[in-house]
Amino acid sequence: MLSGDSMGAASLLRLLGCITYHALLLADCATNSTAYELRPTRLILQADSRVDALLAPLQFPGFAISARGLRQVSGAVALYVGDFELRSRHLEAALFFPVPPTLRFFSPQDELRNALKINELQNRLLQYRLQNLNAVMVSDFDVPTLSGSSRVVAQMLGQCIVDAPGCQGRVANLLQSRDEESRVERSSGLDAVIIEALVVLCHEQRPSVHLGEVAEIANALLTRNEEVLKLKPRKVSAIMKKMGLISCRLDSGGRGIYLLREQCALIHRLGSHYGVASLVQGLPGCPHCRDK
Amino acid sequence: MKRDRDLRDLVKLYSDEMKPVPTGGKKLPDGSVLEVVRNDVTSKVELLHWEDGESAISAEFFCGGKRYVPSHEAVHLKWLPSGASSYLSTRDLFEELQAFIVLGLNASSESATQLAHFCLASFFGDVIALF
Repeated sequence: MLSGDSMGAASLLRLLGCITYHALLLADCATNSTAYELRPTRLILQADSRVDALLAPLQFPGFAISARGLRQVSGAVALYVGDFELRSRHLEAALFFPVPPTLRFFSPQDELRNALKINELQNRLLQYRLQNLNAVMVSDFDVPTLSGSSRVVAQMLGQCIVDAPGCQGRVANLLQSRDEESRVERSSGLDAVIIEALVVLCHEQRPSVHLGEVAEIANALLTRNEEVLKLKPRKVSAIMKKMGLISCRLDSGGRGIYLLREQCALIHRLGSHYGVASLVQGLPGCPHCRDK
Repeated sequence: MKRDRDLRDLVKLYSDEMKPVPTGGKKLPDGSVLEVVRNDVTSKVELLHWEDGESAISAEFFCGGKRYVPSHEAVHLKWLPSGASSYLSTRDLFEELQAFIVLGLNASSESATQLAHFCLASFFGDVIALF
């Protein structure tokens, strides 16, 4: 996902067009003009409203679109977003590349001048694909120190590196700062605050808790973080539901959740994911803190 | 009469089987792989068949009773390999990609590394998810 300087982005996409698999330089996001059986690398210079709907099928092999029958369109994509605001939640699994204004302009003439070199690279890359296709398919490369989408991107890039542990290892370095940013983002969001409140309640060994109580603790945490926002039980319920914690009517006091072993384990797992501070040390004697 | 019908069925079956199957690259049931390449003398798009580390190039390939031909759409691809050639080692290939990016764009080494990863991964877009 490219952002930043537009001339630089056009130049970069043109260069990528020389050394990627079945590259197609496209001026828009239409998929109907693209031959599906070529599995092209789509290098798109202009994002438009169609991208949001196409992110999932482009990104995840196996998810088809309906276009004169079911079509698989997944494949590598580089997209210049520019000022266009994408809304899809699938965006977070993308690799972001800010295009610096200092890039040299790579022109069609440069392409012609380098034709021999480009052909050599294409031939070597093809041999690399053919020789390593099976190894890439069964690769279980992982960087457990990364989290969330950074870990997924690291897996994708690292799986494609065969017999070069040095290059493979550098994938983790590339994604380190992105991972740190998203950890901070995750841990300061509303989801994280609500999970932190639920962790507190788990540690109090409460059998059940009302939404109002969760909201009260979450609001105290927000105040600690100098936020003026106040969460209402209804909003707490909606956020909890999104995370798989579905409330029910507990008693005459209203809705809430039972903190059974299963729910406490899930709350702790979510707490680790969101980087909840109190789980770094853990509570001595809490079985879930020990297991997480 | 029945003999004529049998013969017609046989001809239909044969012509169905021999109907060209356009492909932009495919892993075949026998484990071999087809890829589209461009003949660097005639500029025609052809198929490269890869099996057990050996490659052969031809205008069409027969496998499992099917006749594979290059997808017509492949002519729209500006850059296609003309064959498969040795890349020495993964590290050499990776460094070659980085050098091409640095030279072409005057990009920083970190940017070139990131883009080289993308290029390499694009060759496996059918088996991994990449965006």
